[in-house]
Amino acid sequence: MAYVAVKGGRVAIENAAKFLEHERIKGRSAPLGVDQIKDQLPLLVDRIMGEGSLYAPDLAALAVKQASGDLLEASFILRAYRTTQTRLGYSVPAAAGEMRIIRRISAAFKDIPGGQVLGPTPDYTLRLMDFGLADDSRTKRREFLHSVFKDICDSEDLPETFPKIVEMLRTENLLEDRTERHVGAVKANDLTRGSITFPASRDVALQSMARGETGGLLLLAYSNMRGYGNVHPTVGELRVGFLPVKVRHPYTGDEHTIGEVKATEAEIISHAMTPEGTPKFTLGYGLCFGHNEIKAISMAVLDRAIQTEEPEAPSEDQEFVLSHVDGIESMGFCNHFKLPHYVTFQSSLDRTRKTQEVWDESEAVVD
Amino acid sequence: MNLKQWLTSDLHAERATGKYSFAFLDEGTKREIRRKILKAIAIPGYQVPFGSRELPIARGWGTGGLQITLTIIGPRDILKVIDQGSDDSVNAVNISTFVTRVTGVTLTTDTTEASIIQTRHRIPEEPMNEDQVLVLQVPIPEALRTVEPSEEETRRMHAEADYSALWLYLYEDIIRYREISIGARYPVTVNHRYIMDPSPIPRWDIPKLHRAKNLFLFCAGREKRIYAIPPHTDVRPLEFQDYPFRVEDFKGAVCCRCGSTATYLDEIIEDETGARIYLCSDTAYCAKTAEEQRA
Amino acid sequence: MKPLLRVKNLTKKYGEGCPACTAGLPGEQESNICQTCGTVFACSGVSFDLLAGEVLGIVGESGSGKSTLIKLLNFDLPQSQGELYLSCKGGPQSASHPAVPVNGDNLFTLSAYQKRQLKNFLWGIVYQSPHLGLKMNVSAGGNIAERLLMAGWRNVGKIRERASVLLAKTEIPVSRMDEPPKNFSGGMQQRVQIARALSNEPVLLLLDEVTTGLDVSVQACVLDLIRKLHRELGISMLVVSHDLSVIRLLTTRTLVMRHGRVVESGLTDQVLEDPQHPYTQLLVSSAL
Repeated sequence: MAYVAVKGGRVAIENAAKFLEHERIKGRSAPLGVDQIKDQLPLLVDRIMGEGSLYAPDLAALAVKQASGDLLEASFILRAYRTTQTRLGYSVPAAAGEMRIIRRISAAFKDIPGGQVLGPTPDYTLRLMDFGLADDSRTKRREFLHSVFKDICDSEDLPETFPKIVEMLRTENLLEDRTERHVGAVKANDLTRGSITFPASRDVALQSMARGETGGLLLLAYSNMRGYGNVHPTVGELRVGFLPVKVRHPYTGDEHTIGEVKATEAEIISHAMTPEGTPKFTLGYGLCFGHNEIKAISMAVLDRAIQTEEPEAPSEDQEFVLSHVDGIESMGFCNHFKLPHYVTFQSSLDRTRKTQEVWDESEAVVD
Repeated sequence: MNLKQWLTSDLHAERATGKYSFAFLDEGTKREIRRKILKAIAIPGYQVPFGSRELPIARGWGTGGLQITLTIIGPRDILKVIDQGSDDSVNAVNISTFVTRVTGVTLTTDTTEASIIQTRHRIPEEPMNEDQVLVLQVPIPEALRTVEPSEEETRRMHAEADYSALWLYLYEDIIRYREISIGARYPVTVNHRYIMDPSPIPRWDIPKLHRAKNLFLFCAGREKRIYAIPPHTDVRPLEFQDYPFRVEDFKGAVCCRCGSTATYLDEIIEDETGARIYLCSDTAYCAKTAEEQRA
Repeated sequence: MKPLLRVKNLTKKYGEGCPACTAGLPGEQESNICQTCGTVFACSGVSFDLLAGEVLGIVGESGSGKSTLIKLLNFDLPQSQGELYLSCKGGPQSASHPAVPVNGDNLFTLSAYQKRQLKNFLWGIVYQSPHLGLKMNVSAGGNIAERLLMAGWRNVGKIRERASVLLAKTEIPVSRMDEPPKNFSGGMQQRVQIARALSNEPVLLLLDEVTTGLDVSVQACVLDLIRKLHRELGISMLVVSHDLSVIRLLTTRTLVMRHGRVVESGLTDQVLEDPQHPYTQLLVSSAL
């Protein structure tokens, strides 16, 4: 018998891992520091934390390095680490108004109390390739920072808090009434302790999207914005800043702030009809770890879209949206098709050959 | 504190040596999965939802089967892991390496020696007994998915035993092709009540589910469902009286290693000659048979 | 003699309701909307009996509630209030089926599973739009087979035999059994619906505007077929239509509906020749 059974799977896997490692380190450049990734690629790290669903900038940076820059892999690594962590409890819910702002804008109004605070954003930059960056150095950076702070005039301090735009609409009675299901939930459901059932409650839907993959959420939201849907959003408010993490002392019951997390929050305003038939505004809400505006806005649009009374487009179908936004699930399933499927394929061959036979037989009879 | 400081601090000391609980999963997770397994056994063929955890292996690559194995395994268990029937398949090797690393259990390739067998897409040729558990990896747990994409709707269909859409699909298959064209993932009725997806095992393996002595546990990690066939349970493939269920037909092909004509065969196209040869998919059984013949 | 079907106080409302309309819309009104809270009463306290072998007509204009009524009886919509009773042994198909309860229970209180079984064995519905009643991409035979499969038939040959009989009975060429209805003309699609409704030898047929929208000559064919089936099978029927000539042709007794209520009922001949209620008089006099 000429055929030799394939063995040595274990060795092959080990070698593949070594090859991968080799690809990452074979270049002549200096080894990438985790702190470099964290400091100089902060938006990447923020995205990984959001999709990995674990707020840990150092670990996210490490995951990026380990994954050689593959975002889905990096998020996966962080999620897999998260699973090993002990559950200590749940934080006290923070009010969105408690955010320490670094950026806050509204598209709904030209001028707003507290002002439009642009913050760090590439929105108004010209996307011209900056070749000067190829020549980066500590000296150049020092010079830049010096020039920025040298001429900075004494400006007013930013206010401690900024009022929420949507509150203004609420006082004018233009906003849809908050129903019981939106306010005062005793305890939010935690999706990671169970499996999602449909129709899902809003807290579960929002948690699902907060952990979702940015590109997937953008795709679905974009389809709605372009016309496969009815949301027609206006950005009521977009905030980037730091939310306090508060926990209750196990004995005294007092609230203590133990740290803060950077987050992006988006509230979009859309139209709705009340049961009485009067038009009002309604909100879509998005919130995610780190500075990730695309994700927050997309999430807010989808939050609104999946509440549509009579869903028609895919982005309005709650089950469709929530079943497909998790990056770890989708990448795993997509990748799994590379696994051997020859047994099932053999079965398929048998079926197709058989039906071909039966078909030929019957054709022969007809002739 | 930066990463380097954290790694050397007391906070990280526990993790420094990569110490995890026995079988990786924490006790809370194991408790939930055990309870869900019991519920699944109590309702044969019914899909029980559970809080599926992420693992270092990707979704779609066996996290479901792995969660069951890690939940039920004890230090004295003997484990066998196969993929496409082979212990040497890279996926099987990857999984068995992980499990032995976090449990220290003994591995075997002999079906008759194992107490737990985790498998992807095949049931071993040798019948198992009441001391053994077969854990199957499931990509899509829903038998009705072919006719209905919505989970909300398929759950209602199962609750109301509203299966006519699936039967209609089979009928249309027959009038179109004069045969039922489903290959693997052939739907079965369990305990005269629930229609179940047996995972992508070939039709060849379906008869092994009926009134078996061993327990079958199925788990889809990504879809987050556990289901079971307890021992001695009625499991029948969907069929018509005049179009009965049929297993694959190898047309007299013979395993070129052990000479078997009564096992599921892999078709292989030879490198040099381009000829077609056949080998048992269950490589361990094949090796055993070939060995016995030589003796 | 006990009626085959008894409907009591059937009501369907859309809206929250309010103290003014909890007990139903007061008296006869010019609309079916509660003036206080805006709740719409699609059906309001409808009660009637259907005797075995009878063909009962339900006539009204759009918005009268006649289509809602049929949908409530077929469990397509949940009722707000009301009771439904069936008195019969069921056809030979259902004789041995444990899930089919008759004689005594208010059918609206049954579980979804029981309702499905009941519908499958005891009656069939034909909708105005074939898209509602048929799976357009499944073969005509398959559409008939679906109800047989739900009843537990497991022999393809026998299923096809029965489908052929039904197709012949509804004057559809048997050679087209394996074609999807989307390729058929409107009249033929309605006949496939009828064949499907008859598959398990039901005691009752619900016909909702089945000839509306068809060409006049095609209408005549379908109506002829329905009359023939009634003669041959003795099957009871509920015929919903806005067309008085259809009512006249098919039915022996008629209910007139307006704003969700039954405003007049009686023998078809009497209702059409000598209408008592002002609305019926208006309807009859407006007919071309």
